[in-house]
Amino acid sequence: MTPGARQTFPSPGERLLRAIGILRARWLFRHCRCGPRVHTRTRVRVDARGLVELGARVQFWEGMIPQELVCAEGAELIVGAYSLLNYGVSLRASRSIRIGQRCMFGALAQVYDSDRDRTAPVIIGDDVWVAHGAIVGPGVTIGEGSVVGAGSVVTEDVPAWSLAVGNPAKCTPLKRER
Amino acid sequence: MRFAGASFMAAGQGPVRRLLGALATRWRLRRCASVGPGAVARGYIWVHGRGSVHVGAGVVLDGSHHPIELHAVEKDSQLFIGDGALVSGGVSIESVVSVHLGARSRLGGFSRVMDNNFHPLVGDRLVRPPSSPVRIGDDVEIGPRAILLAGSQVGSGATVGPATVISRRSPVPDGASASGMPVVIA
Repeated sequence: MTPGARQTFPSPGERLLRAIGILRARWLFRHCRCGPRVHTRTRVRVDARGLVELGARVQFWEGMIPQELVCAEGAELIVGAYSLLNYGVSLRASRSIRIGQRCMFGALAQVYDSDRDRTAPVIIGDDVWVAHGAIVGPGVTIGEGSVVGAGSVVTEDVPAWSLAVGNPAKCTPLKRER
Repeated sequence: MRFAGASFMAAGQGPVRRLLGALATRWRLRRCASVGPGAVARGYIWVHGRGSVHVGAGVVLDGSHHPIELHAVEKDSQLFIGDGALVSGGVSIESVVSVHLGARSRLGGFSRVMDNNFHPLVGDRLVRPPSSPVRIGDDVEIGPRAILLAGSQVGSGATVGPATVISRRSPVPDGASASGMPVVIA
């Protein structure tokens, strides 16, 4: 399941594009703590006044709308290794957002940890898939392996290995393979 | 019949502007397999993938505020936009097998149509699941930020409300209106 463990044999052109993406990420995320081989082919709006930590091989995919990483002063925004972020993803931390390893964020997904009423940390476990256009609000903990359905709005905790769909999201357990 | 949008897009322009607009449209849609007469493309239209994208006559693709993505993923995937359809900015249409958008239908801003969910719910999330074609009828109105997942069927004259998610489990019959989350079909 680890994407890094997958054997791929890219063509020379693809290797060059990857190298450019990695160099670009080094420049874009120069104020962040980055693991090795963070990759981006597009521009990403980065506002890193707090601690932004990107794990190894985090990938920002190209698309129509740039991704957005906003971290207020004294806040932390941690994205685990091997996570994939599609275009238009917006992560806005004013206290703490922690995202586990191998997470996937669909296009236009949003995660934020403060609204008008409250500020509470968001914790997203490993292997979570947040699908297209989903919104994860403050104080939410999503357990490992869960899926947030497209366009859903998550306002309460999601247990591990479950599917959260709807506005507000309701959880049903996922059948685990193996 | 041409959709009214096309005429308002061209309104107030002289023959030179109109000619330049037609040339720009041809350039923006250069990767499409076929483009009908009178189609108008504004702004950035991101046509990519190995498959074929067909744009009908008098279609308006308004990418002037936000880009539009037309993605035919595989070599034999088909993406068809019917005559006189209106596609607003920020829309993303992705086709692995076939997506058919009927004549005179309208897609609201940031809505998304895809015939494959690209990741399975369980198991290895990087293996693409089998796709099921999406068919949207004629004269359909789809609200902004609506999401049409794999296998969704929308009948002719139907209305899909803003931010509604349609999946293969919730086909929308002819003339019905679907809205809410989870979806309620009336």
